[in-house]
Amino acid sequence: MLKTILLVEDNEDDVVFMRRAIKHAAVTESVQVVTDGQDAVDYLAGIGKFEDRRQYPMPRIVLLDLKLPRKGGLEVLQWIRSQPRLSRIIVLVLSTSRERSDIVKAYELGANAFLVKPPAYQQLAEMVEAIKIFWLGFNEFVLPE
Amino acid sequence: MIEAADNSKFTSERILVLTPAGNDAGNTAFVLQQAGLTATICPDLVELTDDFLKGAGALLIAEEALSLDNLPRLMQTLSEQPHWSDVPVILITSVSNSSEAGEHLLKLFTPHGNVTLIERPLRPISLISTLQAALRARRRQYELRKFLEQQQENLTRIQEDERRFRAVFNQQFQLMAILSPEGIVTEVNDLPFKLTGISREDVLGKVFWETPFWENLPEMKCAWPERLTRAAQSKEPVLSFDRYEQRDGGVRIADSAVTAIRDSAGQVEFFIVQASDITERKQAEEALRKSEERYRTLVSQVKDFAIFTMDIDGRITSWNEGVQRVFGYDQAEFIGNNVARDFTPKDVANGVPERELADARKNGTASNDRWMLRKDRTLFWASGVTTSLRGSNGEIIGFTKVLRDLTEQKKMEQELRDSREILREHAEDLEERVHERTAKLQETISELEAFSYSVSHDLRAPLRAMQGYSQFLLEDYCDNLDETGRDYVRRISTAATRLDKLIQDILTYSRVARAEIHTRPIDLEKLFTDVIQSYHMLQRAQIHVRRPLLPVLGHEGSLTQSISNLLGNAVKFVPKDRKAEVNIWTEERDGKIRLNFQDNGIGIAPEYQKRIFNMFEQAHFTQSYEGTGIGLAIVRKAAERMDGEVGVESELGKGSTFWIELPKVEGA
Repeated sequence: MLKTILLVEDNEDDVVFMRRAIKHAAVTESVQVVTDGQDAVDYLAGIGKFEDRRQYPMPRIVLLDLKLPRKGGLEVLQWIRSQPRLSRIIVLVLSTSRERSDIVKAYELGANAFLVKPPAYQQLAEMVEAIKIFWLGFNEFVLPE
Repeated sequence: MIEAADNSKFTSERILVLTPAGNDAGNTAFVLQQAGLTATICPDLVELTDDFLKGAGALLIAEEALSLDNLPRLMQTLSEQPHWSDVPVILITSVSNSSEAGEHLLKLFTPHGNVTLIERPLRPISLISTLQAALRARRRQYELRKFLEQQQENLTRIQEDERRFRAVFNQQFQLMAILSPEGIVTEVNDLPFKLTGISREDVLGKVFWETPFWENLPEMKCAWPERLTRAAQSKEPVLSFDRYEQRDGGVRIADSAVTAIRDSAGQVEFFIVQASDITERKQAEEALRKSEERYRTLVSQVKDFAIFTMDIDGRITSWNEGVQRVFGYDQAEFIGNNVARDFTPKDVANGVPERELADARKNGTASNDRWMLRKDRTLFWASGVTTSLRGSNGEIIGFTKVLRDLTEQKKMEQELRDSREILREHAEDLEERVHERTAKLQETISELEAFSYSVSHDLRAPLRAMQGYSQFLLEDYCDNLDETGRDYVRRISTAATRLDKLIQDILTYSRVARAEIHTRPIDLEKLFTDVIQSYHMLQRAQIHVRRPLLPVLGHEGSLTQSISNLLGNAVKFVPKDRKAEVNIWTEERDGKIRLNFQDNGIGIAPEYQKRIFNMFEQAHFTQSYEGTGIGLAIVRKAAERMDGEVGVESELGKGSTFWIELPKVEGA
């Protein structure tokens, strides 16, 4: 079974880095990318262009940026946790922000982790490695029905 | 005693009868009653004696009724009668008895009473006439008593008059003498002797003007005979006023009166001479007169104050010239008018003039600070006081009013108040503007915060991209680049890293500068341990913490930031061939705690020591010591926010000691 990761990220560079790091660490073959908050919601809801679950499978982990077009990351998070089917999905907030208010808000809304985007690629690679080991390795999860 | 007895006719005229019961007692009473006499029948001698003490005209006693047991008491009572009283006692004796018995009775009674014997058989006519004679005699006794009492009363009154006269005469605080028509002294009161020490013998019986009183006053020796002559010719007292020059140079002042007292024929019987020393009174009068004159002069000369008096109704009774100046009235226009005329119509309508007088009456004074009217009906600000005047018995007899025209001052006060009002309005205006500005500033700050956020997010992202792609270039296309190409790529990466650090520092600075800071006691030892453990760079250096580190009042986040910046600098600015060594210690200075960071670094030239705490000021611009120039600015800002200070002592080439001073923990 594929360990699909849904990356919600509007920054093309970050997408490139993340794909490279995931590939390097051999985390998964299945990386899905949406570039705004609304698409993230649609993807998870399986509606619109994301209707086909075979093409757009339900992810094991959502990597969620906070600063997104159309619908902000926190809004997306709030929506996810309000959906009974999605309430237990692993959401890792991935942000450039260290603002305390963002961190507090993210945890309050039910983020599983709050990761600050590392300043250098090398560290990003290390972080992705850690995600692989912890979130996809040690960590137990519940699949959405 | 008899005096205590009822003095009515009934008691003084009654006849006390003692006869053996039955026999002729009833007859006797009847006979007396028929004759119009009052009789009281006594049952025994004891009662008779008691009744006699209450008053009686005569006693009628039958011999048989006497018993030897009770006789002494009667005798005693009779012998104790007052000197005017000798009550008649009529004893009825029987013929049958021997004349010896009658004699015995007479002997027994005579020393004590006025006794008449009547022998039986009694003939009513002789009994009545005897009793009437006895009562007549008794009446005379009562009259005598009355006369004696009156005499006694008169004597007492005369003695009392004399005593009082003597007392008055002697207590006169003046000389008082009675002289014969020839001028011989017959009486002098005590005072002159007490005052002069002259003895009475040297004066009494002497010619008045030759007595030692006038020994050194020759003019008085002439004056007295002349005054007596004049008094003898006049019905009025002769009054004089004398100055006695004394040997010690002092002057005494006396006034005197000589009065001739005449007999019924109009001849001079004696003279009364009175003289009193009125020096003190004269001096007091003189002082009072002078004081009054000074006061009058003062009042009349005071021009700036209107001073005037009023009667109890407020009618003006006197004035000074100040009134003319202040009110504009002349004397005739002012005096006699009621002060209410000078109040404003509004004050008059509100009863202010009456209230002011009532206040002065009640409290002694009342303030008079109000607009009043001048003669020309213009207003002026009168400032003064109304005071009640009291007569010698303490009753209020009028009022004085002292007031000044303070219109100018009042105007100035008003102007001052107006100015203050304007100032206050300006201040309010200013405050409003400050509020507006503050609001705008708040808005700007919010915008800046938003900007910071976007800086942290948007600005750093491209930098990370630059770093990332540089790295990918080196990793993936290393073989396709020559050494120069690879160097360029590395430089791109380094520049991006530095810019990223710079942005981070600016964000830190703005966070330190604007974050809310609440200070609390901080355990520095723990803080140092944490900081040193979390920075790899620091673990390469030798850091000696001299324990104990005194606790300070600070904000943990800001302090952590400051400590890591200072420690970072301490190990960074060290010559390449030297191992970094840092000494950390605290000391108390002037009630504050100074935290020192002593390094063995390159040191700072004196001209930079102040400037290095400013933003973007670096002492070392060489590439060998990398930095953003913000680290120390952050430390300074953090210290300021925690009510502290920062500073440095340094010598070029020999290392620096940076310090942060923070408030100490009270009671620690």
